[in-house]
Amino acid sequence: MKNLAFALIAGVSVLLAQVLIFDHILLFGVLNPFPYLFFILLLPADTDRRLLLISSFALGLAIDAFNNSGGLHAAVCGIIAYLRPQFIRLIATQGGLEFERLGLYDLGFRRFVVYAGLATALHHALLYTLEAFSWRMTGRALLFSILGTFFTVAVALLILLPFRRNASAR
Amino acid sequence: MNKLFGFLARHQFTILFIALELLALGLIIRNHALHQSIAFNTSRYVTGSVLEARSRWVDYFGLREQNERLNLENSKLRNSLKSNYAQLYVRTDTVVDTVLLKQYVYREAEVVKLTHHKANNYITLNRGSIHGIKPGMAIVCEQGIVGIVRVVSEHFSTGHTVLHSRFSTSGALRSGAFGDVRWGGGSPRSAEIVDLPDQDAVSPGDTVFTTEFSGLYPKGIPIGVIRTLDRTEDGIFLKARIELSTDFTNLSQVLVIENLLLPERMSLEQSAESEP
Repeated sequence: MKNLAFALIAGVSVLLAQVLIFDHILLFGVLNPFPYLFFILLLPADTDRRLLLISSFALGLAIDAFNNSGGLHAAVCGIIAYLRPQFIRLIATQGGLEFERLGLYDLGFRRFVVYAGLATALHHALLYTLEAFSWRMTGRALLFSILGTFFTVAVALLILLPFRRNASAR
Repeated sequence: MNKLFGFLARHQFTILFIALELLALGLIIRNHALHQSIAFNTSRYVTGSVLEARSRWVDYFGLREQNERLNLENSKLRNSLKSNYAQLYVRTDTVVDTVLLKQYVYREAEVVKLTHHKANNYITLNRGSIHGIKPGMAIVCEQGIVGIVRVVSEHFSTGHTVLHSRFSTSGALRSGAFGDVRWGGGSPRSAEIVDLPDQDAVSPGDTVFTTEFSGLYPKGIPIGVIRTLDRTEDGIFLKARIELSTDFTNLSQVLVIENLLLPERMSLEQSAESEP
């Protein structure tokens, strides 16, 4: 129940930040950052996976409503949420670790960048391929995915860096 | 049967996932196939209001440039006033105007949302059905053409801009040569005109204007200026790259145009086509 309320409040804030601010930031005049995706990545590790899947899908659908993109973001968000345990396992195997929280300072910088980078790359690749909806513009999709991944991760890091959790408080 | 239920219970998460993905895929396909029905779109009440609130704040930052543009437009309009022209003869009787019939109605609207960097770009306006906006009306600004209204809700309307893969309209040069204008992807500053007859009269620097062929735009609204010519091998038609007149990266006030004579023309053309 607490998780549900948290996901709801976090989801609405992330949605507003994305559609009011980040949808209007353009790199080279063509490229949006999509830091809303970190909503999916940052929910606590013990979040019920159905809650994670449904809330991610709902967030994607809401983003779609603001972008006239049908179910584009919803589809991609669903896939990322579904695969999130795999991404976590990937970074955890490096030391047989278990994580409760998945924040920047919980995972450590390098592990977090690997985790976020992989997920963001997949998100952007799926997003731009599905957006083009044809094989003709795959060059554009590829270029946008690569540049967009760096851009989104950089923006997300800038947002997350100031929120250092006090080590003794945990 | 028990086995089936067991299977469903074990894989309920994956089944939920697949169901959601199919739903999303269905929405994407619908979005591409039927351009009249974007299921969740920016002309809905909630999304429209949020975006309108944002543009109310952001518009302040562009006021200076907007004022300059309005001033420019004012000077153009004032130049075309009747009172600027001296009367060459004196009318002695009253004239009831049966010659002129109003064909186009302009409604001003504010841009609530506009993109120019996607594969397909949409525009959302703060005018809807209660303001008389209907799907199919043309959108222009003082610089040139902008797009076409596609979906209308009570207070908002959403449409394709020129920067949309499904947008196409006819464009003509001053010489009368005409072709098809479409975006073709890429830069929000340029588009292409195809099937233009290969005449000597066509050269870079010529302005492309709207025609009345589609019945949407009044004649003579600027579309863009020809930059480069691309002669095809057959030597009959040519393709040209045009620089769009409208700056889609900076647009906040537009006009929606209704063609009052369009229904009459459509029914006439339809009956002509159905003639054996």
